[in-house]
Amino acid sequence: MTVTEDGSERPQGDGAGLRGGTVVHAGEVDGSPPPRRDREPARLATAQGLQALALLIVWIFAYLGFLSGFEHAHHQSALYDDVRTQLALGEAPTGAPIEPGTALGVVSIPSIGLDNEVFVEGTRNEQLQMGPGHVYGSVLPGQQGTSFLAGRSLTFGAPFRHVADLKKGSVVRVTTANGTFSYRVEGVRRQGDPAPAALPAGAGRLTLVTSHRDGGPLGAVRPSDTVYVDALVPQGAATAGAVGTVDPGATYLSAHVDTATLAQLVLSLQMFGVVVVACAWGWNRWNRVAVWIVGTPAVIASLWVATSLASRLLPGLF
Amino acid sequence: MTRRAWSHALLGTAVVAAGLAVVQVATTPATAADWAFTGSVTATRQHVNQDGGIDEASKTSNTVHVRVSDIKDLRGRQEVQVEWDGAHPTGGVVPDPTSAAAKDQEYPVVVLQCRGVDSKATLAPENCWTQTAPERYFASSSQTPVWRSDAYATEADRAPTVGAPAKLPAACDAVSQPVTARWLPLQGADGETYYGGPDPAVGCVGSAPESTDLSDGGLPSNTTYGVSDNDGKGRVSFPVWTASENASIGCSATVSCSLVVVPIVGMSCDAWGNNLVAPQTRSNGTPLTEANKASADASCRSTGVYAPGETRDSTRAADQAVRGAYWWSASNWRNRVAVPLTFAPTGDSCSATGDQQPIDIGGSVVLNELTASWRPTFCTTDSLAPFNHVQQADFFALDQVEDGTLSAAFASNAREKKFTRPVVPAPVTVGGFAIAFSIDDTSKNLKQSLNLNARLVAKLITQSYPAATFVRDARADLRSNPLNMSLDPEFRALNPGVISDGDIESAAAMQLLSDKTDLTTALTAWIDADPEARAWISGVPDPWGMTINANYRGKNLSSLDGNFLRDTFEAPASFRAANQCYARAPSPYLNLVANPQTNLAAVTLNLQYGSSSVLTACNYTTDDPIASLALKKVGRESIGKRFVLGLVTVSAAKRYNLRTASLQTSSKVVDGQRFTDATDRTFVAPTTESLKAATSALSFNDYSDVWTVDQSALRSEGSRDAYPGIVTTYMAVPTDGLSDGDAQALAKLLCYAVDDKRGARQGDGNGFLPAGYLALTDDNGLGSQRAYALKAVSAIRNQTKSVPTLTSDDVSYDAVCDFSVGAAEPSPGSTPTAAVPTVATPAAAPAVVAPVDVAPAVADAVPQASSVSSADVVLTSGEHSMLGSIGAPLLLLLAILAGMGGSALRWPTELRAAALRARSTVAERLRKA
Repeated sequence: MTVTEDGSERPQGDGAGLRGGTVVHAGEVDGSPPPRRDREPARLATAQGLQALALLIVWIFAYLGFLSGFEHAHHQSALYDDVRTQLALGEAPTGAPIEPGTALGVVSIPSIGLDNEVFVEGTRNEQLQMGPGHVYGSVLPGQQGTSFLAGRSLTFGAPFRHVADLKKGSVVRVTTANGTFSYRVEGVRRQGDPAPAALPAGAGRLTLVTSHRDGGPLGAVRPSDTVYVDALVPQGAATAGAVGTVDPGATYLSAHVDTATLAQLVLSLQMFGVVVVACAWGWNRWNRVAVWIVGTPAVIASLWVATSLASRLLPGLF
Repeated sequence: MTRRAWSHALLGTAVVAAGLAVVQVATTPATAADWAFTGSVTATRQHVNQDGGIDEASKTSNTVHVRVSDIKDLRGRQEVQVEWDGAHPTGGVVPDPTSAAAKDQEYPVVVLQCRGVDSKATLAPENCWTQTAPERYFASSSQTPVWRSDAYATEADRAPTVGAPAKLPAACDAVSQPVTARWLPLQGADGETYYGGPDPAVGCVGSAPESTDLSDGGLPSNTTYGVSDNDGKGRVSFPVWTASENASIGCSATVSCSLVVVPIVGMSCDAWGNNLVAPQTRSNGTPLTEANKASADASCRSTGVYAPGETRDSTRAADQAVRGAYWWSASNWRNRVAVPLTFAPTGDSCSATGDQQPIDIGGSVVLNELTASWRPTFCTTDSLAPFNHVQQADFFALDQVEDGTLSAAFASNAREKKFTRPVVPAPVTVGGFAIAFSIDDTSKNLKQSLNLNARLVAKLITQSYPAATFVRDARADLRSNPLNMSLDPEFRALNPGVISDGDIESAAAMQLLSDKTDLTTALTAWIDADPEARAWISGVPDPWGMTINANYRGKNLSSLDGNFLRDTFEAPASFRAANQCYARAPSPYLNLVANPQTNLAAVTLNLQYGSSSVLTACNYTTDDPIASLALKKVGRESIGKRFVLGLVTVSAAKRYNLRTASLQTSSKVVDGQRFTDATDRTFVAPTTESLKAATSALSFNDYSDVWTVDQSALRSEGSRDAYPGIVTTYMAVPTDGLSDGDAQALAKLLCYAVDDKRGARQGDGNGFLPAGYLALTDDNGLGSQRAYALKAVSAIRNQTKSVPTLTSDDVSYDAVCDFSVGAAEPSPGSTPTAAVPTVATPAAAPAVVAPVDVAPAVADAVPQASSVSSADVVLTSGEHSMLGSIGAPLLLLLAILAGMGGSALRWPTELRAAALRARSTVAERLRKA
């Protein structure tokens, strides 16, 4: 594009100038050097970096709020098939030791639309990504004593999103190898509230644990405190099985970094890097259409894997 | 008061107490008031002449006074003292009054244990225990053995054959048939009749199962043919048996028994049959001839061939008429003094009663006697909970508490690794180790006291006495050592008058426990703290040149984990040729000499009966090569050759009346100098007073929360009367993860232990504190232990998940040990209606492990102070996440800023142009409008 000296664009109306001969430039010629090569890319790189960061954050939000739900649904569908068979055969576990991640039973809370959610053993992040987790060191749901189920309220399908809204008397139905138990919600409590009274013989309590979203601006995405919902089955709970030991690696609202996850994360990030480099190479030396076709799914897939692993570093109840 | 101030106060108290204390050496009653039973009998021997008149000339009469030390609440194997005077002096004396040979002494005083009591006419010789067959079967080739001439016997009892089974088994045909035979069947408690009879080895007629001889591991006999001296006085120590030791006699809390003392005065004779209606017959049914009767009269009237006090020799047979063997004859039996005994209920009563599942508590052997006394009380009292004491190595029990297999464990030392769960070590009582001995003096009597310093004990347990000459000759490190302790000049200097004999291998070692226990550790701690012993262990020879076994040189004995079988020397071919059993399975010889025992009961039994545990005996016979090839224990040592030492607890020594050594605490003797007596050395015997004096040396360890013994404090001048073998005991109980039933039951046990009226009260009866323990009281200098135990009770009852500190506020007994309410609430707070964390489930709670029911999250319960006053209400604890509360908004903000900034940097001109265009468009629209 040619720019005249006064900054206005050259008239292009009839195009005569092009077809005609040379147009003599009347004014002074801009003799200043073009923008330096070394400044131009730095600006561009910073700009692209910032934009990539913004895109990454958007991706993370999209992943946590939306895409992780797919992951959760995928796990649930597999687990449901699993636990259905096991419950039918009576093979579901009734006491420690239980492998973490083993499906134990299903929980339904009609009043908040939770339907046949499969809960698994363990409350580390990888288990809570699959569904609600049974806390190590407590009895199983349906058994005499107090059982704890922890679940997410924001990400990965957010099975316990509305748990804190439960009213006294709402039904929490749990099906395990011990049978189906209908718990009645006793109440919701947070830090500082009195703990419930001790259990009479033969009773079982189910305490749902999740993170609570405070009000205020953007309250819907600020899970800041633990919240407990106690539900009671006054009698007829099954005899307690063996109880496992407490898992110190299962944290609720503090980040838990374990080296295994970090190692996997490093590998997945390397894979993501390789994919990006391959795309860049193809963009410059190969067919750009082909790069679009091949590269897009590869980038998204590797990024998904890395994000899923990275999200394990977040507190488990988010 | 700070801890330092406390310890000063305790030290002061101990010094004063030690100054006032009168060390009571004698364990036996000294005055008449101390005897639990006194009785007397006038035992008369008179003969009926041929004309039917009483032979006044030969009539003798002895008034025998009998005294017995204990008759109530007896326990198995408890030794009671029996003393008498006025008896006929004994002749033909044998060394061991409990052996079968002792029955042939003349005029002994026979002491036996019998089922039944005289007042109910249930006492009979058939119910009395004797161990061997010859004591219950009297066969004779004579037509008129002395028992047929017994003036007081019934007609039936003077028949040629008395008491035989109705039909003799076929096996008896192999045995030669005697002319006359008196059977004395044993009536078992189960109703079974054990006839015994001729030679039980032939299998003719069965004898009671407990009649086995000692080599089979059974208890030695308790039937004692006591010896009276020339003044007619004598005393024996008689171990009484319960049904646990001897089911055939079957004495227990519900089956009454008697201690029967029969002073033998000899048979009262009626050889002419004047007291009989029908004439006596011979074995073939014909009447006795006059010649028969005349010889019967002569033998029956005999008064003994041995002079009083004369020992038995093989050339002269004792006179039948005055032998102890005929204690059952009517002439002797009528002179019996029967002392009714009552037995304390044993732990066996627990299995029958109670629907409550007992709690298993593992660990310490130091508490054996305490739990044996308390268990029957706990399982028969409704307000207490039954428990079992699983005796095992302390460290192992603590490991099981750590991993949750056991609810609680008794131990003395702190666990080597700290518990990963909150476990409170609640003090229970204070006991001690004792070195028991059974050692003869040169006059073949058991020595009553013994002085041992740490170096001598170190010599015994480090396998430094070679025991046998072939060991000494082959070993450079043991070459200059005496064969065993009886030959050690150091031992002889401290204990004059003891036998010395190079053949007694049991004098080369001390019987220890094979497990690593805190009892052994307490012993090694005493040795390691002694300068003389330490120098010797490091390799310096003792003043007489004795050196340590090279396998132990320079070792810290406490670091050996109770393994005192480090020697590896095997016996040479010459010994193997002589000992087939050893040749078959050679092993380090000194380890066989040491032969540690698997449990404390085995050691106490060996010490009670003077049995050697040295495992070198070989009874190899070609008849039974397989069974007889195993090495056997040497077993009971003969009188005059007894030299056995063993590590036991003070309480076990008190219970079984073992003799215990006085241990050296300090010495002013110059190192390396030979000495000839115990001058300038302080030896302290284990007594209640000396244990009490030693409590000042206990100090609290802040890291492990366990009281430890400061051996250096015991060596100081101020604690001259303190016994260095003091051992503290505690019960390790988790304060997290126990079921409520277990927590309350264990809390009850601790409360019981500190209750002045029950567990903290010294007494012989069940449920009291047995001798050899110190109650946790201020008086004993153990007030801080008691206070800590009460804090522990509160922590356990409320499962506070924390371990109380010594300095936290004290709680009172009444506040924490009131089990009538649910949980311990010493000071009901301002919110009485609030939920209580642990409401005690009723006693009849299901046996299932009730899961913990406290604060919601497992790992984040409210931390509780040791005092329960803050434990009224459990508040929900929770976590807060800063990331959660501000993370998302921050990220969003960052995304917006980065997006905008990046775009502005990347497309500045385009954006500016777009902005200009937009502005002009807007301006145009405005203009149009």
